[in-house]
Amino acid sequence: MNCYDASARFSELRDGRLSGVGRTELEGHLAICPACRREWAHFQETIEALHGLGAVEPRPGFAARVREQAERPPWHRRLVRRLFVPWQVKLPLEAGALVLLAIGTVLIYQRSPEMRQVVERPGPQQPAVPVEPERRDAAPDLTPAYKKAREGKPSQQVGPLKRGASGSRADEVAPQAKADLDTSVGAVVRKPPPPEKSPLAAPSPPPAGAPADRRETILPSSSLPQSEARPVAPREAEESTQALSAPAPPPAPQPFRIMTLRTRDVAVAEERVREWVQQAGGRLLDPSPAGEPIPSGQRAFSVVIPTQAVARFDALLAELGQLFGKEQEVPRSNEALISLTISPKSPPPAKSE
Amino acid sequence: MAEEPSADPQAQAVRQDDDLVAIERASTGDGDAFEMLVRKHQTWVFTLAYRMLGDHAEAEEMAQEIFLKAFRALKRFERKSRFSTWLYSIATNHCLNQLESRRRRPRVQELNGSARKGGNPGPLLDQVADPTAGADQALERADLQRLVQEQLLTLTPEHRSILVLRDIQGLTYEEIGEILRLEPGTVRSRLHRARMELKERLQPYR
Repeated sequence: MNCYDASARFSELRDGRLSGVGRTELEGHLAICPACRREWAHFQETIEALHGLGAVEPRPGFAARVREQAERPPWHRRLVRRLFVPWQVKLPLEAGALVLLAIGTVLIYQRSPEMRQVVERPGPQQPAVPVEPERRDAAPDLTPAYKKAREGKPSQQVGPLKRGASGSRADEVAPQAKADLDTSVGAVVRKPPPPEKSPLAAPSPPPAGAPADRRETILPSSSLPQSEARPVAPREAEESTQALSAPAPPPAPQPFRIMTLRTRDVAVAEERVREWVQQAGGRLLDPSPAGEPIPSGQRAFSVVIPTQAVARFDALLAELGQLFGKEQEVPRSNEALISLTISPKSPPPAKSE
Repeated sequence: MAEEPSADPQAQAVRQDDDLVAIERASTGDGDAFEMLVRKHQTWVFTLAYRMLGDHAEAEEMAQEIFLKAFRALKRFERKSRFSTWLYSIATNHCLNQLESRRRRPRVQELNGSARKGGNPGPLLDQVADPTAGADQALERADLQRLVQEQLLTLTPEHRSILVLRDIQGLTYEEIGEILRLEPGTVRSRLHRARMELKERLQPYR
């Protein structure tokens, strides 16, 4: 047996698992080899040192603490208990709190456009309506029909607003509103251009050679000579206007809003809308300047109201009947141009006897 | 040690019967029976955890977790092996898992003042061979224990666990094989390598 083999059997010798020839050989080698004898002594010391480590006791009360932990219900049960027990008291309270939270969320959501506007416009806002007459007077290039429409007087020559004028923004109309528009004439809510150039809030005469205002380009089917009066698509009108006032930079995209109100009595609803718009400091552009004919029994016109009043206007319309298109975003400018169609609710089918 | 698994077989059988009754009651939610089981096995479970981890507070937390784990698994205890062996399995695996997660999240290991970095270590191990040491025997013995514990902690978790199970807890090769799920030959060779490695680490202090 050599030294390597001898040291490989130290553990077995130490644990009494070596017997017979193997044990005799190892003991014989240790007797003649001082190096292995020294290694064997160190090996034994190491194991004795490990034995000397002994047992360690935990702090007093360990078993009681473990028992307490074991008897403690798991966290999810504790959570449920804390949340719902006693359920006779906590459940009604929590249900009430949830309802309040939902109401609060809806209210905040409904008022958020105004709040957003207030945050974005820290300075005092000028009322749009008082300024309006002067600026309107200062717009010599407006056609008489257009002026008439601006003043809210009815005009029979103006075609209704073509829905196609909405351009790509038509995709943003809510599905319900879109479905509604497929069967009846839609209404348009148009975001005015940026506030500093808002022609709705403060129309001013464009400088010579300046590009025509986009808002005007969608209106003036009524501004054409009587002989040429025909329903003109806004896009077409826009192109023709731009061609007249070259060079024309590409017009800024015009956001819009289409709303349809279905009500039992169209005349009453129209009256209420007119009164309300007047009180709110807005005005009606009547009829809606667009390209499609208005089906009989419906009324279509555009409304210009302060943007802050849009939520109240929505509320009024909701009172008057079933409203579609309210989901669209409120413009972030002083005034909002809303094109509205009021259509009669179809009478309930007669009961067959 | 509260219970030596490889002690007198007759006494073991009596204790095992006691364990089985307590296990039956504890598995049905009897807190007293569970507390009795904890009291009976807490010393060796805590010793195992302390020798494996080297920190008193951490070892106590670990021992607590081991008992809670065992308590929740009591219904799955099949009584094919002894309760202590089953508990050893849970304890050892839990400690090895803890060491593994610690290895993944390395932290500064605080060594006590007796950890010598180079220099002359001194003949500390003389205490083992010479029981008639001087007046400072207790102090030196404590130093020795601290030194061995520190060197034990430098070993790999596998070597550490097999040394703790065999040379501190005194389990048989067969019990170690059952706990660590190793073949007898693997137990023998791994134990020998672990002992030789510890011997080499303690060599400078002789």
